[in-house]
Amino acid sequence: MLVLVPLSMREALAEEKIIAISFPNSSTIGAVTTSLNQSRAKGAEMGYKVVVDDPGADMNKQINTLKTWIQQKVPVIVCVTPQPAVFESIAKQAREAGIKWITYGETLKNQDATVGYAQYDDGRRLGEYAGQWIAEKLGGKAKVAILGYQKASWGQLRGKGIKDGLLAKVPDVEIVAEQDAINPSDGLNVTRAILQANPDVNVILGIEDPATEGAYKAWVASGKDKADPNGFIGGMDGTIPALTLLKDGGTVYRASMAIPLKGVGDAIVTTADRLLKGENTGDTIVPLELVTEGSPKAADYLKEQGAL
Amino acid sequence: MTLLTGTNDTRAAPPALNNPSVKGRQFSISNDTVVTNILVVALVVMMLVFSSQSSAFFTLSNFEVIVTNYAAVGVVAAAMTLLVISGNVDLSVGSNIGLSGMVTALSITNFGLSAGMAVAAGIATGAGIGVINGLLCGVLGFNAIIVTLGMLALLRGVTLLFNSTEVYGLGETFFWIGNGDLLGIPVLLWAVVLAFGAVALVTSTTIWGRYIYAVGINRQAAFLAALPVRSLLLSLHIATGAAAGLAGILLAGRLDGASPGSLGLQLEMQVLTIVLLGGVAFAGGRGRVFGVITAWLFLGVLDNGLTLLNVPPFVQLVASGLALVFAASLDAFGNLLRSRTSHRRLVKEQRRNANEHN
Repeated sequence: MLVLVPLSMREALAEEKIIAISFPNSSTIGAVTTSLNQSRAKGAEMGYKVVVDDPGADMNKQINTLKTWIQQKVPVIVCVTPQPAVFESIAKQAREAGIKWITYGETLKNQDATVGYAQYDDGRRLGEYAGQWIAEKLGGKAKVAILGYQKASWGQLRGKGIKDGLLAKVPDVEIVAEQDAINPSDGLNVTRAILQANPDVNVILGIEDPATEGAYKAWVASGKDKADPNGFIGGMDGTIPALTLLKDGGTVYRASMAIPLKGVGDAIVTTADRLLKGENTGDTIVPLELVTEGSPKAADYLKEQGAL
Repeated sequence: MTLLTGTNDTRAAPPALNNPSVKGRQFSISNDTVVTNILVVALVVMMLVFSSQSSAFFTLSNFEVIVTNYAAVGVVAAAMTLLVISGNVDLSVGSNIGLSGMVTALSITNFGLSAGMAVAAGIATGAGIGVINGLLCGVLGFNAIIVTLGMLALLRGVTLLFNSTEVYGLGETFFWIGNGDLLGIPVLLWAVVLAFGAVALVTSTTIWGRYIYAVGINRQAAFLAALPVRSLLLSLHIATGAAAGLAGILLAGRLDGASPGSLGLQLEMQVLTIVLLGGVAFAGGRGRVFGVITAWLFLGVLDNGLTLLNVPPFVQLVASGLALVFAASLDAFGNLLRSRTSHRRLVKEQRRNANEHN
């Protein structure tokens, strides 16, 4: 259809100062939604229209949309790349068409900049914190379950970071289960089964807070003490339910690597803006912040998300 | 009734609709039983394998985990069984669950409704979506796959427009729905047992059950036989929508909240897998509730067992895919058996007739 769009219209679209963001599963993760809403707000403030596409887990659909944007000649594309190698060629096509390409949370050969997080490093910090806690409270022994997401490279990086960080601190822990879970339903269902096979699992770490929120429900539903002093659940992203548990304290939910959501949202737009002005921005890495049980930072992040 | 039992149609209707000859009926039951029993045997073998590999598998508490994990899916699968037997389908149930669950959660947290009213709002939302699907597909005759696929995307979008962030903290009543029990049996299990029980009752004891098979075998013939085809299909879509609404409530209860993007996501594929694996013909006119219950348990046990054994996620994908292929081959095997027995019966009848003439 776009081929039929007259050239003048396409040029008009290009001049509309669009920042096009391709973010799989963005609508399923509340924290990401908050971050992207901030991008929209920041974009409006700076005279950009921020367009977000959520292709779910369908990479083909994602590539179709990217090709449409290239045809449309949007000025900037920001893209989450579930499998980075797959996106090299389309990123090259975009850049050849004069479009600035920003990779979110990963690095491609064909790109102008990276914005996002250091997935492995952030995961590793959670793993190290959990390891430190196990060393101090449990004498270095624990049975651990890890809720990861092997289908995407960011999930693999986060999961590997958690595992490496944990084992670096407490090499004697026993990792009894590694399963995929990315949302509350999966986190609940998978953890209930894990707790059946291993009722003495006392540490659950996840690459996504929604999954570990589900794991917490499973912990309670399986009859375990929600304030078990020997229990530890920790996730990543800093969603509202997770941060609320951390703010209130008194539960086994003890840590989350919180995304400075507004900071990331702003960084997407400011990096795009600088690239369009011809600057060489380099990578913009926003480190996640470790929020622990009872920490005042939990309230700060809740305020940022408008939940307080 | 000849229209519904003609020998040219190899799909097996329930006994009441079959050829009145005892022999014919015996053939039909025998074939369905064979197909269902293959799944039962597969289920038993799988349970034995998991039991031998994990001591945690064959326990009462693990059975509770299996049925409660899969309860919401089971409720929708029960209602969907009738819809698919009638030759229709509703692929929007996953998003229906998301929207109904969100309406339920917001009814509590934002609108301050009582738990009872919130439950009613959730079921009414699901049923309302069923009315739209039913009017478009059942009354106006639009293609059910296209319409409900459209609704799948539309409803997810509406849910996100309605409220784009997670809602949580639904209170004691919802905690009881998701995690509590009634007379020592989990509430979720009650829900799924009642759903399957109601569907079994409809198909086996009511005239409406026969109508559903009749419409599924040949909608045009059913219409010409003065059966209430349109109102029947509308009712089935409403029932499926209401079941999805109930599933949304059950899931929201389990999770103590609703996430607009992920609640019920891709559940329609799980539901359809269960219904087809259970021996219900996608073209309609054939299927038994017992088969669907077996398939529901089959997938629940498969999912649970693979997690218990800590099988890597990629291998789990392979296993789930194989289950679908198994479903397809089961359906093909059933059709093959039916066509062969039907053909043999025809040949026998022709020989008998020829002998009588001689």
